[in-house]
Formats: sequence, C-alpha cells, structure tokens
Amino acid sequence: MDIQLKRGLLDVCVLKAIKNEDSYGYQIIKDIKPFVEMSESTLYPILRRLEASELLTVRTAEHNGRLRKYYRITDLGIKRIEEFKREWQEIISIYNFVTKEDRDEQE
Amino acid sequence: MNKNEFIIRLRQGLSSLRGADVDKSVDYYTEIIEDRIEAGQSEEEAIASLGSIDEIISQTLDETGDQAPIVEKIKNIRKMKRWEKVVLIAGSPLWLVLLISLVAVAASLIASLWAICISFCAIELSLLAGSLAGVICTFIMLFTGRMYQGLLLLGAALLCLGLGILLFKLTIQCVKLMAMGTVKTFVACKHALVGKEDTNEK
Repeated sequence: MDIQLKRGLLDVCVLKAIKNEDSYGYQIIKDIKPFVEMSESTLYPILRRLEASELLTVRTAEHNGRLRKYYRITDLGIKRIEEFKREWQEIISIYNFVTKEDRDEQE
Repeated sequence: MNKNEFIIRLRQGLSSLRGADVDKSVDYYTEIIEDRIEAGQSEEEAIASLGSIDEIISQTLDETGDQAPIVEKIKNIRKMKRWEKVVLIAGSPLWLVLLISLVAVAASLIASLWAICISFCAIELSLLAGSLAGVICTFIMLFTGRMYQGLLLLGAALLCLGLGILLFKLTIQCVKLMAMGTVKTFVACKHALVGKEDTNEK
C-alpha cells in the first residue's frame, strides 16, 4: 500500500484505540490486532508523530512497581477521527471512479 | 537475547540520535517487553516477538530522521563550525598575517596597474588639449600677423593631435582591460568565498 496513505490510516487506527479510554503501547497493539497487524516498531513512530501534532497526550503512571506510558486522545485527535470519516466518502468515490471500467467490463 | 542485551544493542544502534530520543525509544521497548512478560510470555519470547532488532533500529532511525531532519542538519552545521572556529582561532597568527599580506600585494598590484592606466589617460588628454590649444593659438597668430610662429605652432599642434589619435585606441584598450581585469578579480574572490561556504554546509 502507498506509504503515505497507510501512515494516515494507521494514525486513525491508533487514535480510535485510545478514543474511549487511555491506553498503553502493548494494549493498543492487542486492540488493533483483529483488524490490522501492527508491530511495536510500527506503533512507536506513530505515537511520537501523534504526540508531536498534539492529537494525543502522554502521561507516565506507575504500574506494578514500574513505569508505563498512557496515551490519551485530545480534542484535536477526536476531530481527526471525524475528519477521517468524512474523507473516507471521498476515497470511496475515488475508488468507484478508478474501478469503473473493471465493473463495466464485468457487466 | 535477554532484555539487557536488547537494550544495549538498541542504544548502540540509535547512537546517532539525540540522547532524549534514544531514551524515549528504550523506555518504549522496555515497557512493551515488560507488558509481554506480564501477559505470560518469557523474556526471550517477548523479545523474539518484537521482531528483528536491526529492523527496529533502522525503522526508528528512519522515522526519527523524518521528524527532525532540519534540526539534525543544523546540529551538524553547528558542530562543523565549532570545530572550524577552534582551528581558525588557533591558526590565526599564521593565516591572518599571510592573508593580510596577500591581500595587500594583490591590492597594490591592481593599484599600480590602474596608475599606469590613469597616466596613459592623462597623456592622451594633455595631447588632445595641447593640439586644440595649438590650433586656436595658430589662428590667433595668423590673424595678428605672426605667420612663421603660427605655422610652427600649427605643426606642433598637428604632431600632438597625431600622437593623440595614435594613442587613443591604446588608452581605451588599456582602460577596458583594467576594468575587466578588476571585475574578474573581484568575481573570482567572491566565487572562492562562496565555494568555501558551500563546503562548510556539507
């Protein structure tokens, strides 16, 4: 898949994974797993990118005597998900246009 | 590979990044490993499931490089300049004196060549002025009845004019050559300096 497109999609996946409650790295990967296979090394830069663009915030909390980073979505992050839903309509119509001939041939 | 070995290799692999970036990355993977162990995996399993460490390193380098390419570049330039400054300051007694004398020699060479050029112009100007004055005086003398002196003066004036015409092209050529030479010298100096700046940036 086109790297830019995939990047954008995975960003939204991660935002969705922390939308309802704060989550941490391992949990995010587990939650996404049924839908998208994402490795830890893929998730890491995404989290950093989302933090840099203020779509999520990070806090460190103690868990079983060690530190764990929890990620919380921001208003901007929620907006991004809504934006994605709207954009998707556009992508579907682009898809319809691109595959138009294929479908015409089939008919 | 156990956790400590993993962390050491990760730190080594990311050593080109800023310290804070390395720490963040190490914290992240440590947390994941510990979470995996907590979920029931053994340490070895947890690390194995992260995939190849070389891939993790190259991916982290790529992504972090993507995020802060300009910052990294500026840092490199600063490093270069600091290093250069030390060399420049340490070597200044030598190169500064050499540079000043070189500039002085070049400047005096240009100045003396221009002096020759200016004297040519002065000769040319005086020859033309002399011939003009000679012709005017000749007419005055002819009208005031001093025929022989007038003719002598006319001869001198014509001689001046002839020499002036002969020297005219030479003088123009001389000025042109000097002007072009001076401009070219300055342009060459500028290019030399700009060229140096370019290598600094690299």
